[in-house]
Amino acid sequence: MKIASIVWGAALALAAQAAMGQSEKFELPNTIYQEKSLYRNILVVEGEGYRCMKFGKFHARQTCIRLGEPRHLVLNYTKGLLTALYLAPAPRRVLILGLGGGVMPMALRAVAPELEIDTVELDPAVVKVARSHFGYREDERLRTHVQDARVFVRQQRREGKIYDVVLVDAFDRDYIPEHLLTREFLQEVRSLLSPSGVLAANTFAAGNLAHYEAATYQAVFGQLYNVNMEGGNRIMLARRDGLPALSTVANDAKKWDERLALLALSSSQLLPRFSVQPSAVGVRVLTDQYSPSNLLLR
Amino acid sequence: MLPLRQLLIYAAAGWSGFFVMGVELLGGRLLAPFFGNSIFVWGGIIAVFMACLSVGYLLGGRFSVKNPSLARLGWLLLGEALLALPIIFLGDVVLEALSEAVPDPRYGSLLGSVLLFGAPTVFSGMISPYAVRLLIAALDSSGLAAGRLYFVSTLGSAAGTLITSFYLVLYLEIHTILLCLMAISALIGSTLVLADYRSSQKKSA
Repeated sequence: MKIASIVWGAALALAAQAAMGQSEKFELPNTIYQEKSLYRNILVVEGEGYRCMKFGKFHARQTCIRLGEPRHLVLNYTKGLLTALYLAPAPRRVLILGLGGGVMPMALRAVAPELEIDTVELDPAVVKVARSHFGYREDERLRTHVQDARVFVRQQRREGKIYDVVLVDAFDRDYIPEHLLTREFLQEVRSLLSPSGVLAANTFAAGNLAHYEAATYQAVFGQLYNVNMEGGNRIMLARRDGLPALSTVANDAKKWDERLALLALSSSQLLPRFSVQPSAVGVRVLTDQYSPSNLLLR
Repeated sequence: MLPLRQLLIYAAAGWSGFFVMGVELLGGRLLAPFFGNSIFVWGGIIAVFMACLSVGYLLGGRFSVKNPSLARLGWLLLGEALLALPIIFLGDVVLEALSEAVPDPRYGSLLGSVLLFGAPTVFSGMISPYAVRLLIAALDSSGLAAGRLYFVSTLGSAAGTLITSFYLVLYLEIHTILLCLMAISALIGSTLVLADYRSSQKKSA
């Protein structure tokens, strides 16, 4: 009985780990904060020196930090998103759609203090918890916009704003805002990019939806790099004026090594994860007229 | 077994419940690209549908006072179908213009809902009270008829909500679904008009 339950428990833990794609293994037994927001059930959980944000007890970890080590990136996908810099040699303005605990803007702040960063988050409670529990700090060049990402993108486009890097991190395994995964949305995002501007999106590595997602990104950007971060995450990289060759990327990546060393990242570790995303065939492109992403997830 | 005439009246009411909820759900999808998917966008849509239905109930009751007929009920269904057409042909233009003119997405989406979904929803609301008038044969069975009518129209709404959100969006584009909904409204509406024409011909013959 006891042995069976231990084996079962271990199997569950392994399955959970595989599903979350954690590079670091830790348990989070203590719930230190809980809030029912308009959109989510926000939980802050802690254990073994880590603190994470989750949207529900059995849901995936949205954001994790190691307590007392603000420059330590815990979740693999956050490292993958930073490879956007390899395709953008001299970025000035960055847009981040989906805040979580604010790990991405704080990491960018640390490596490139001169960047102008806009973050967009729908749920005001998430912004509040990012500030209170995850060390998210705004300043005059890092602003938070509590808004629907699609509405924000359209507003910026009307005002003629341009970004050199756009990070899309608005989805999780349990819910996708369907209007943020359509060809039209990506076209709107593309129109915000400077000529050699880069888009990096945290997407699904496996499952039915992964094909639809790839087809949709390819319909707008053409060729993409796939940065395989293992577990459940696949980072897709695209550039407005077309994808640079891997040798060019490798060259430009080295220029970031010194700065990214602050976050314990190096191009020698991340470049081998790059591959050209094979073109998705035989699936429909998701559009504003056809976007049942949450149904395709099942 | 219900006589054909009654069956047609219940079908009209049940379908119109289906139609309203189908359009409401898809309406949320049509607004999202312009105003987002926030709780207030849904709040605005639901409020507009409720308010328009309530106006429809009032007008439908009033319309039923003089010369009620199956044909006129049919015209209401044809009306809801016809008035929903601009959603497809003007929707994007209207919403695009509104999202520029009204910076606050709460009022933009509210206004957009009124303009695009208001008229067909008022017509849908007119159908229930009008159908009650056609069904009532005697005072003591009036509650029975009204009860049955609420039953079919609300059950129709439940079916419209579920079938649209679970299945239709998985296979069809939003505009295609809307066109199908309109086509069915028009089909039931013209059946009613035709049935009324036939029965009045029989009577006069």
